[in-house]
Amino acid sequence: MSDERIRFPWGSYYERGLITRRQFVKLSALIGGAATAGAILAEQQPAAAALAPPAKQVLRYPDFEPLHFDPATMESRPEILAGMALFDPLITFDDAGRVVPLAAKSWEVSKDELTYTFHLRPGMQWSDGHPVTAADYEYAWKRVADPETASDYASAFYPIKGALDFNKGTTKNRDTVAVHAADALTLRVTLAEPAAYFLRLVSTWNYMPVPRWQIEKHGKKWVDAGNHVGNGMFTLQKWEHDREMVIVANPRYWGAKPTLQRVVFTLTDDPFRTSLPAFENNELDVTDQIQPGDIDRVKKDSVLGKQIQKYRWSGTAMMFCDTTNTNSPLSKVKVRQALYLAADHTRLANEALRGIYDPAQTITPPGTIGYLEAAPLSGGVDRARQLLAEAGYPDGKGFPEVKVAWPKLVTYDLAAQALQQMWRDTLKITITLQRMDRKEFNAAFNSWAKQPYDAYIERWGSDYEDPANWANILFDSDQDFFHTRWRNAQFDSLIRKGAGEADPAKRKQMYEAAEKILSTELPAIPLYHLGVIVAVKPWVQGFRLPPAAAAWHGTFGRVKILDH
Amino acid sequence: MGAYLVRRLLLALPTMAIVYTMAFLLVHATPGGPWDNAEKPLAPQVIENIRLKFHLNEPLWSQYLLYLRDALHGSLGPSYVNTSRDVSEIIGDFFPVSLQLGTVAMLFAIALGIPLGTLAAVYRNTPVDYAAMGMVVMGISLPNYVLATILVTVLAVLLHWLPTGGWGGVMDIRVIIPAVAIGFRPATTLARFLRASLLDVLGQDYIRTARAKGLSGRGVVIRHALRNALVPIATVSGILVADVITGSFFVETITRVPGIGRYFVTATTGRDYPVLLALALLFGVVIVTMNILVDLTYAVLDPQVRYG
Repeated sequence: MSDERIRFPWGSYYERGLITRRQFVKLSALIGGAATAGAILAEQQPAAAALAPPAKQVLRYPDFEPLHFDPATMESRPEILAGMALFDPLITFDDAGRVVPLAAKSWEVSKDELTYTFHLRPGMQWSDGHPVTAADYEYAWKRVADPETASDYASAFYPIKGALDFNKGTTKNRDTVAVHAADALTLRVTLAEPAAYFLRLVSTWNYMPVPRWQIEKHGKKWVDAGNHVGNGMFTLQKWEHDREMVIVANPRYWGAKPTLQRVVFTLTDDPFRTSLPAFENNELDVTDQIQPGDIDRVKKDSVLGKQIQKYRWSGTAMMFCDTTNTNSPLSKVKVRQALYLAADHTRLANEALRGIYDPAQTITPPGTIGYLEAAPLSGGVDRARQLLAEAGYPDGKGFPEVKVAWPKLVTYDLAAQALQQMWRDTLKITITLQRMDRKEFNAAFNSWAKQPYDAYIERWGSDYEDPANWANILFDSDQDFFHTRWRNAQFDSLIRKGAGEADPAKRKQMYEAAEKILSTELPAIPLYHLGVIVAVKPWVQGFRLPPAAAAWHGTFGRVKILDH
Repeated sequence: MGAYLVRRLLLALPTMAIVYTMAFLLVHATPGGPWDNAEKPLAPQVIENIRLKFHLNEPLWSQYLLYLRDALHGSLGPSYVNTSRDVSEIIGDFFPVSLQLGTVAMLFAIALGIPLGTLAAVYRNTPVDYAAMGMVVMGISLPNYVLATILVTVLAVLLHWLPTGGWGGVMDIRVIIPAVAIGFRPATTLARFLRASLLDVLGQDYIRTARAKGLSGRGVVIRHALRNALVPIATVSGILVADVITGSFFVETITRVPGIGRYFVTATTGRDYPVLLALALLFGVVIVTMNILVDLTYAVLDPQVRYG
């Protein structure tokens, strides 16, 4: 469950009574109890101000050109944001971390926590009138695991028994993947081992169903407007590449009909920079992320200043250190701790990055189990100097030059320069900065052991808010995703047990203990937690982006356009 | 003439072969590949599946021949970045837009550049000349993306006269900002070359003769001088047109024009090999075509040139 103490920026909407979410049937626990619920995600009270007539219920939104809306291979924001409006996964999660039923009205988990049985709502239809059945989900899930599909996200299905072998090509028989439609409305899945986060996975876009008949008829062209069929709240009406895309309310949707009738996406390859002028000229209702260079002007502007909204994004930017390279001072824990304590996180976030991001004292972001309110290390600059002396570099004397690399990104540039100065001023050490083209950096990253750098700056944003999408894939020493080569047996054991732990309280305890180890040894020095600032026109009500992509399902369903 | 054209077209083949080979080698020599993702972990098996699917495991020479064979059969393959789209589709969708925008921009450049250059030459060393050459210096030193940004800020955001961007074809008002931004520099280039070549022609004996015979100043310039002065302009125009119709990454991005120009950059940053190769070939074809057209124009403009 996510931390209730976190204040979301949209909390004020609840308080003012602008949004009241229908009370969902209480789900006794994430795992174990049978859950039945009739909640409807998009249902809200009518707004206080007069709504615009249906013909004007249009949201004009900027975005990158999406790749395509095929749940098996979509992977970045433009696909996920619109894609989750076009398809319904079985379930989703609300802001408090509770499961919300979508296409599945209920589900059961077996005693051994290995078998999940989902019961679909009867009478659901695809946007072309086909009935939505369990077989559609079975087909879709096996299709992602199929090596022929070559999906980047195939590994998201590895917890399912048989999926890894099928994806590896050990067997050609797709029926060895343990997903099975028992009847038209019952889907049964067996896992390889207990995974407390499995429902979180099921809520992601890769677990959404696909229309088999369209794929078989049109091949890879099934994603074009005209061929595209979904089971979500909206359907794809028009898609002129790199220009404009329109999704409209799906009249066959099983749930409450959205107030918003159309979303018109203005597509460009740089919405970060082009959306603000277009927003000011009333061509858009929402901007894309406002860039650090524009923030000061926007905040001071008498009109724009009142229209900005800030959202938390579940993720952290960090400086990753090679912990085993003994030629580098960063292989010493005390040096890493000194760097961490000497970095003024508040100044970094508020001054260098203009407040678009939040200071990060610990690695796991707020909202994810394992997040610590208080950092395990403290003592500030004085303690930092002391630690540096203990490591053998009193007053920075004899400290070799340290090289830090990062892929070209404005926010990394600003952060790296600020850190360089902070460390020079407080610890009297020199950091050499190396900015790289994104693909050049990626190539270097993929052969990190051979690279002449001591550390690099990079970030991770969660697909879904669960430590299975954090500690387990990022810092488990067998995964070593960030090439820090950091190994701590106690940490590994805690997070591996935590991944399968069904008791939420115990699970939280384990991950918090693990986070304490991680944020003390600091194979990665946390820099800032991610966030986004956008501007929204005053007549747009209910727009917000939840902190992790898997929860974007209801984003457009919540929006209402007021008369203007 | 016909035989000349055939000879030129045959000569274009080895040129294109060299373009393809160079592009292929450069594309594969750039560090980082299409699936070098550092943001999201790709399981080793996943990468293996992708590499198999796109023949990236085969030796380079084999990939070189495979692509060439497919390209000769008219298939440019799928984009690596967006596998549901074919490269020929991408070019078919976006090149016409750049072509249209480029044509409007070039018409603007001619409409501005030719009078500007002519006036500067005729009124040499007068305030008219200085003003025209001032514009030329501005055109050469002001990058088109800066001009585009200024136009968007002034005409759209401040004055609300025009939309900030988008595309609706050549008859849509949204074409104005990108066309002016792209066309301004070629306009000043044309003006500069025209001024120099016109000054040269105006000093020739036959112009003096024409004047002596009592022809009006305007008639001499337009009918006799300008036509001869345009020969060097045709040479420059060929390159300018090739440049303008293949699009401008920055202007297209700033004004949200769905042209091919941006693909030169996005395909490079994405290491989208098939798109990069196709664009190199496209650019090659455009340059070769423009050069042939320019050579043919000489025959029209200059009676001394004959092709046989």
